[in-house]
Amino acid sequence: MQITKEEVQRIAKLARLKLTDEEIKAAVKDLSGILEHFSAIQNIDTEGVPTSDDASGLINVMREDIAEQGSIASGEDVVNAAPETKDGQLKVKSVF
Amino acid sequence: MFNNITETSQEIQAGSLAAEDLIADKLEEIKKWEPHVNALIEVLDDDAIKQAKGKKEGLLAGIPIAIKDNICTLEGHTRAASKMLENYRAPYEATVVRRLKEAGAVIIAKANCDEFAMGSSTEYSAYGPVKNPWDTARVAGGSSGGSGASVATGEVLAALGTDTGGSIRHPASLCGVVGLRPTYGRVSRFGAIAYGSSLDQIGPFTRTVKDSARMLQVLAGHDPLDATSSKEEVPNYEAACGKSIDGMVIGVPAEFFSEGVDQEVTKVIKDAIKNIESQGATIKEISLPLTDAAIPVYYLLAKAEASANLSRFDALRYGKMDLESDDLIERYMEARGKGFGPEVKRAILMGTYALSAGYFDAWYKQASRVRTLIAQEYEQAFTEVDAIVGPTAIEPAFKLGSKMDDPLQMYLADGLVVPASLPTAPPITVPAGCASVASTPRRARPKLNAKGGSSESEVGSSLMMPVGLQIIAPKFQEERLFQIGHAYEQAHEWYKKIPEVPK
Repeated sequence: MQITKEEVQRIAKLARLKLTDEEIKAAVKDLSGILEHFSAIQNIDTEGVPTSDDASGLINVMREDIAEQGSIASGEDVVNAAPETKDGQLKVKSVF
Repeated sequence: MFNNITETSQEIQAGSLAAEDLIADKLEEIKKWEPHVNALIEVLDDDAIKQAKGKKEGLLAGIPIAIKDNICTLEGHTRAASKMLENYRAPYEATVVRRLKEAGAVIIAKANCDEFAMGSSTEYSAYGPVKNPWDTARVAGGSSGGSGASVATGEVLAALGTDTGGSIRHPASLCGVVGLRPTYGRVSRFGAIAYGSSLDQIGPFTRTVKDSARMLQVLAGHDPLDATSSKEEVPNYEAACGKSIDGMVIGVPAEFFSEGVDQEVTKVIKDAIKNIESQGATIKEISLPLTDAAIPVYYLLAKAEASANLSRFDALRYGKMDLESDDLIERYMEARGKGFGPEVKRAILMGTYALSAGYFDAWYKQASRVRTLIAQEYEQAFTEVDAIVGPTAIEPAFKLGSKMDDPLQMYLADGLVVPASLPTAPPITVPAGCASVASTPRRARPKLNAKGGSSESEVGSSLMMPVGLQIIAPKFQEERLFQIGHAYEQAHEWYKKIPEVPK
């Protein structure tokens, strides 16, 4: 179950992870070994078996769409946990 | 010496012990132990003293509790033991923390853990590993190693941890304390930093089973802030302690005693089962054939969910980082490359891979289907037995560093705790004595592929390290765990053994 260096680089880019050359090398080795071991689950017959997306068994848990100001934390506190803010907004680098 | 909630609480409510004195005492204990174990990532001295003032009423009045670092507290920092959140102070507290405080508890520290709860030894903490108080050359287990160690030492009387694939039970077993993973949905996850959302549960570490029952009493119940939280009624858990287990049918799966399990551990657990039988329970041999599939299924699902959950950490919302690049995407990549440790990066890569186009069906979807099959196996077993027992960990605490070069070996250490994480059945681990680590097989054999590593013996140690008995009940039947756990515990009283501060 050989993962290639190119695969790792592709996945790292998707996951927004900057890896050093060492880390890429280690990831190729580690992931290949781990996935080799895990590939045995392909042999288990799951014909007609539903997926288990639903751990809680609950459906459509809803509440009234009413804002409860500051019941958990003030908006200010939440925004101020961010490193760079201005006028109650988060500052980010330009996207264009 | 006050080392359990039940007795200490009686003294405080009777007025013969002042909460302030208890907390002062524990802060001294913490100073003595911490240089040796590194269990508490942050001690909340001043906050704790303030909280302790006048505490007398409530199920947990004056009781010092450590909170795993991946659970939000208003006091101190919430770092999930990561560099990514080094300066992060949570703007709100987790529901579980609020409930503890409402019961009178004192939040005394944040407990060290594997970064973002990913690991089985707490060696992946960005703030140094936790050392096992019984032998500080060994791990405390993970990912809630700090929670387990600090209850074992008596620095605190209880701790909260999180269990996704065994992260409460594994360290509890290795440190010789009680660890409970509640049924999924029993305890609110609001305020817990998410790892694998369909698997995470917050649960208590305590010295005794009765203490565990009291903690669950306080923590359990519906929370409107957690959409996966259950409205199932909360029974009187403490009342289950002391009920006879005569007539109960206990299942013992053959697969829980495979060759990957240390023989000394097997001996200890077989003795524990004999004791349970002597108390009137019927032991029934059962089979859970998909037990070995649990590790791949768990890791594929957990890492996939983690890769999604951790995508929010971008150095824009939760923590400041000094970055070189100016471009937005470059900054994400740099921040995440620097802020995350090796296991977290490995997890994100594996999870992203399992979810990526072309691989989703073969990996993620297949794992999800096999999870359904595993859940069905447990449902079937529970039509024949009242509870299932076996060892919690495949081996006692291993030496620090011994699995760091082989991530797969680290994963396999969870071989017996991961299976019970997949259905919603709640498991508990209860101390069952100690096993010799003189000849611990170092390499677990990966069963499914039978590729086998080599089996190395540990040289020269005749040390005895804690072993835990795992008991699994059907969902929302935690009372059975306390009933059986308490009955076994009282027959041996392993909880009276406390480690000593190393010289």
